[in-house]
Amino acid sequence: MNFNLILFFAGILIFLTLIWVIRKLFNIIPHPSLKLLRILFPSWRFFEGLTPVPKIFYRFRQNGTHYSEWLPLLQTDREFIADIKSDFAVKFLSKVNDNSELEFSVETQPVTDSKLQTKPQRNFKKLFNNSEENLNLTYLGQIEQLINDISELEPSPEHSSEFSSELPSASHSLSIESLTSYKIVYAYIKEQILLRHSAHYFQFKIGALVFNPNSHHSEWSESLYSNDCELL
Amino acid sequence: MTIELTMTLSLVLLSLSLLVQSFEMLSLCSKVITNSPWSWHHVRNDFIHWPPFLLFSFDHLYVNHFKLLILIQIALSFCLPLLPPMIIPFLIITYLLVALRFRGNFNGGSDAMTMVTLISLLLLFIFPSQKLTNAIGFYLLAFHCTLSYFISGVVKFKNSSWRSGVALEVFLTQSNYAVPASIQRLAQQKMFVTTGSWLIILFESCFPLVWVFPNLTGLYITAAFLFHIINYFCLGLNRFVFAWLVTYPALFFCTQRL
Repeated sequence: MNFNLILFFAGILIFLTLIWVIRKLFNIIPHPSLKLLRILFPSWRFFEGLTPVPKIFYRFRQNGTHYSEWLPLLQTDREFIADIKSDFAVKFLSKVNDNSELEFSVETQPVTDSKLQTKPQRNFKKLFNNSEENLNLTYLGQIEQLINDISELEPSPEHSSEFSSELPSASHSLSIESLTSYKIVYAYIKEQILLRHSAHYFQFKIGALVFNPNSHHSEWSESLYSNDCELL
Repeated sequence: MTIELTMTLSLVLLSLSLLVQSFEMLSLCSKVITNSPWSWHHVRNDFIHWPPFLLFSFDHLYVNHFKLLILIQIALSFCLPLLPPMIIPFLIITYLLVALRFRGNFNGGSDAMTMVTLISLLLLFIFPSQKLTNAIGFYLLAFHCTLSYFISGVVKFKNSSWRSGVALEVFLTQSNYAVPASIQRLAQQKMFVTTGSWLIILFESCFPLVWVFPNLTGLYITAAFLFHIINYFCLGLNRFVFAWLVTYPALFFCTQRL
């Protein structure tokens, strides 16, 4: 028994030493590269707590027409819009009205069975091939990453036509455009709109729902608000 | 359980896990390689500080031969139980290359656990074949399996929103995972989320008990497997089922030797 315990602790020691050596080695490599190799040193901190839930809204128009209503981009958000509590909806609209003349299309009816439309296919076959859902999860990961990246960016005096000048995010728009996460998310938004609509221009908003345990409601925190973007 | 049986089971299960992941990736190849949000010309921005020869190789590999890379991984995974010492190093390379293509990982924790498994099993073969050193790889794998549940449980326990059930409720009703409607309805019941939260916290935090009471290992492994199946039905995390399944033979073997 003692011998096996020694073996077990030897394994722990080897593991910790490896982690230490890897971290030392990574000190000579720029930080982003460390993130790319995170598969080699797992953290195992799954679903640690209440984290901001990223959301995307978009609207579109054709040449010479007005923009549509704001619509949720993510599939699960279509249910979310119907699912939110009326208190939260008021906050949501208020936030938008503070910054622009835009309004979201928000329903405030109580939740009913018909509103909960999420019916993902989860069967034995999908257990062995759930590729579409896993691909969608990678996009969600990139949206979260983009929100984190934006929050870490230092504001710069440069401006770009891609973002509204009325929001703080506009001040460092050039930096945002150079982010890999932005490029991926932007392409994803464009792809999704093209799949659903025939349009020439679109705008989008990216933000996150942050749950407030005291009020027991989620609050909207906006990270990015685009100006006109060309679809084609 | 003998060391040979543990080895065979681990290799067969790892082969299955890798095949599931590789075939999924193969079916996504056409959606990932070109004209997609995951196009290489978006992702290569992350690698501009890497050595030029690596960047050049990645350009070539990810634009022209990504599908071939996946096919090679499938072939290697099929042959894994037959020639593990020769195949595991190549699988580590292909697996890492696929992860890099997706900015570090494709499916979070399941990728990390698969990599841990590959490295652990490699340890079994790079040392001389004596029983003492042979076991180190299994101990490392069993250690990671235990640690994955334990850390996950402790961080939840430390979080008041998990202890009150709020985190689980918010997670099941507001997150971007496609949670089935029936589960969302259940998550709106206070009793369900509070009980569920504490069951998860207790199960995960107490996982190291298998090292103190080896007789509990079978029970814990069964519960862990069911836990991952439930996760799949609630959140769609199918890869986690297989990635953790691979670690159970090593865990059983190591705890039974105590």
